[in-house]
Amino acid sequence: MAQSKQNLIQGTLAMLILRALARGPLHGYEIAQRIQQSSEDVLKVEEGSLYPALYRLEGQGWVEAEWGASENNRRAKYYKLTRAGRKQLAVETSNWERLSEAIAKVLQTA
Amino acid sequence: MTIIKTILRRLGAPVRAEASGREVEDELQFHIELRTRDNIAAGMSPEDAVADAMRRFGDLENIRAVCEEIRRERLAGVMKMAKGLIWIMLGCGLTLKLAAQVDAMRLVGHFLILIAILWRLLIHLREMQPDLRRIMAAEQPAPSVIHSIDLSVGGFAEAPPTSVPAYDKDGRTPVERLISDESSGATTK
Repeated sequence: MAQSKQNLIQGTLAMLILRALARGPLHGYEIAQRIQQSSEDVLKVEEGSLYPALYRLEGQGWVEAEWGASENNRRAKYYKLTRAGRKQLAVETSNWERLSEAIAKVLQTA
Repeated sequence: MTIIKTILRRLGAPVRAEASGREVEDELQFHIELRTRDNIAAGMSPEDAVADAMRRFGDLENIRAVCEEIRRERLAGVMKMAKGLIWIMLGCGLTLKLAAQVDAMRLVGHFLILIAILWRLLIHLREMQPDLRRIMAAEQPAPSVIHSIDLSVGGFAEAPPTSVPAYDKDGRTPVERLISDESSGATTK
């Protein structure tokens, strides 16, 4: 099967970022890596677009950021999920599951 | 306790505002630097590694401008809230100072007034500081993101991405895989 490289659907990036952060704090590059690796390279995030999304999520109080030392001892900004962010992730995941189930039903019956 | 910490962090944001401009720059540069190192570790020449990192990142100037704009809007909101709180604190302080019958309460009033004045002064100084920094920065050349990337250290190698179909053997989409993998990882942790 030919490889399908899909652009992220508008609005799902926030959900993917929240999901990537569910296991612990990550800096921006690690978030991009996590999303790409978890999707087995199918989802290609334009890496720079992560940052406006992260800043918006921070503004909404769903993630919080703190500067720390990276694995190579460089100063890096780490993002972590807040309690509100965890709730939002649950809501968005549920919405997404409902949506994908509905689409799957349509595809099966059509 | 977490709520108090969050409020304090948010109210402290104006104090950190001046530093944040540089932080956006540092954060984006750090990302490009890591991607460049990974590219070199995967066998690219330094020039190709930088070019690929920049291409993957997208429009750096535009992204930086958007991040700055989001940050400014957020800070404006926080600043408004902080100024509101200062007025409330000042009002409470004055009320206690003028109307309290007990010395201890009048002392609390004095303390609130003092904190409100100091806080307002601090915000005012921080608001002035970017103008001073702009004047000073105008005399120095702007740093270039690409030229400042340190290519000397490798060691971030990872296997190049493999080609996979959009659906796995269980018929799951990438997002479903992401969600279920992360969920199983979280439960085993």
